[in-house]
Amino acid sequence: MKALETSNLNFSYEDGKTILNDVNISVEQGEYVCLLGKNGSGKSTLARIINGLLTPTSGTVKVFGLDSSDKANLFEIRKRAGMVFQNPDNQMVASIVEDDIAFGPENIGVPPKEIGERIDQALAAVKMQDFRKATPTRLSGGQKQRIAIAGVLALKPEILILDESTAMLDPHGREEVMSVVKELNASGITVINITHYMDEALDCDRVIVLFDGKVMMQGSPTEVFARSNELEKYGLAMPKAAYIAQKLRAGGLPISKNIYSGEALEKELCELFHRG
Amino acid sequence: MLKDVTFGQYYPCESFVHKMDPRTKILLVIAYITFIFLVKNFIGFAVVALFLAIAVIFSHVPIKSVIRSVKGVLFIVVLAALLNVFFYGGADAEVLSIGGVKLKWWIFSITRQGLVNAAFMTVRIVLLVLGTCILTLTTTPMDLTEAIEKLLYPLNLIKIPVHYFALIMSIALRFIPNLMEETDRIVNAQKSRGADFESGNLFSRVKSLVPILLPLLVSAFRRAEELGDAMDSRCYSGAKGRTKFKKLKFSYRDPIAAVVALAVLAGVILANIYFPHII
Repeated sequence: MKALETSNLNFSYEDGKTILNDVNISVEQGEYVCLLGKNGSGKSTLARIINGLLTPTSGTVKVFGLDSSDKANLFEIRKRAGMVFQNPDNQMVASIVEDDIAFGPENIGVPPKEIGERIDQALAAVKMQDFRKATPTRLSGGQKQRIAIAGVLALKPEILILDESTAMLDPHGREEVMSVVKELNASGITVINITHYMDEALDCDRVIVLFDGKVMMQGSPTEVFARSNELEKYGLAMPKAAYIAQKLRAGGLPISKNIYSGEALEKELCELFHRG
Repeated sequence: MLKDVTFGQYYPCESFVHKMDPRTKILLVIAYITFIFLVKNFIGFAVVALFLAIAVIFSHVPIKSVIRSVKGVLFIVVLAALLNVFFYGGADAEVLSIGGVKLKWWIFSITRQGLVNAAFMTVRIVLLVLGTCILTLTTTPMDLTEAIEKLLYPLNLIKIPVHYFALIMSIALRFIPNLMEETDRIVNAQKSRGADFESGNLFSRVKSLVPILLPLLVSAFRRAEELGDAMDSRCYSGAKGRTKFKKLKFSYRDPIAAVVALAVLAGVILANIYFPHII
């Protein structure tokens, strides 16, 4: 069964403005998908529809075969597809870390003893074990966002949806969060990362590019980044290292075509230098 | 800055008082307030103050933090004291005199009873504030709302949704630091555009608050919406079918506290009976 499947998904506001236009995507279980798009491309709307926070105008979304337009399925869908939002402060319910993480399990009626175990597991998964009794307001952005992820993990979801969850973080915090997400994916959780940071897309299995509510490109990161002209047309920049590699190539340096990450570029340049 | 405002903010520690059940602590504070209003003389206040001292010692909260809580109400204390000193109007008023000069001018007069009353009021207010501060210093907002929810549980029977009130209260407390920070930011932003908050008469000063309050209000609504979404997607659906991770439990500490409180009550009553005069 597919983790997520949308068919002919449309969404428009009452004033007639179309946000999503005939979106057909599917995500396999265990996959790590990046949903890219500039502001206003409809990517956050898509996330909200998946989670049942918004109802599509037409078309269907199925999460593990459960239709999200059926109110009776919402509870189950939200349990299985957890969502982390952009602003870390605005998704914390409690003023102590463990109480906040307990919020989800409490809602679905997990017995108190098991909630304690779930808190430990969730905190270990995001590497925040020492912060169980901490106050979120005193933590850094990256730490807060990891706590928010732990709050979702405590519901034992199968899909983790990140809705621009790194947009308000500094580069260091972004790295912290992304490395945790990568590990979660390795442990079997399906990840849908909605972002406009191209660098985050380098490590994923598949990239989906949205523009004006339509799916424009789909494929592995290398496939998508190879089409830099199209990306530009959809308001997206290349990953920084790929951009630099491209410019160097244009300037005459013999740099190979499939360089997208900083590490790869560094290696390539070192080799070039040593060869003289 | 504003972020540092403390009105008896929780002092993390593992003391006897911290570990008491928050329900007991709330009931004790209510009892304590009642005692203070029962007291008719300074001996009674001494008994209450002794009780307070015991509570402070067993709470391991530094005296400095406790005293600091009075600062916030200093204005009210001073005002109440001054009013009492100058405007005592009882029939038994005897105006004091220094070196044959009566301390009386226009509508002001300093009387012996006024001075005594002022002292009495001051002690009463200070004790009130100190006592309630021990509660907030030793209890997390979460525990406090939990306890209030439990204590008000009977109201559910007459269809008052106690769970929602408790949740609203705990979320409000949770967002105080965020809103403080935000206020700071808005004030700085408006100042950097030339807004003036410090001069002018009262009216224009109040008016100058509008450009702070409006953005704050708008952003609070935005926060509320986002928090609502986050709560929804974490499967929140009201009190029904919810479990509680932290269960409040009474321990051996709670009956001990109750016995101490009864002793204090006895002390206050005895003081009232055996010392009928205020001093």
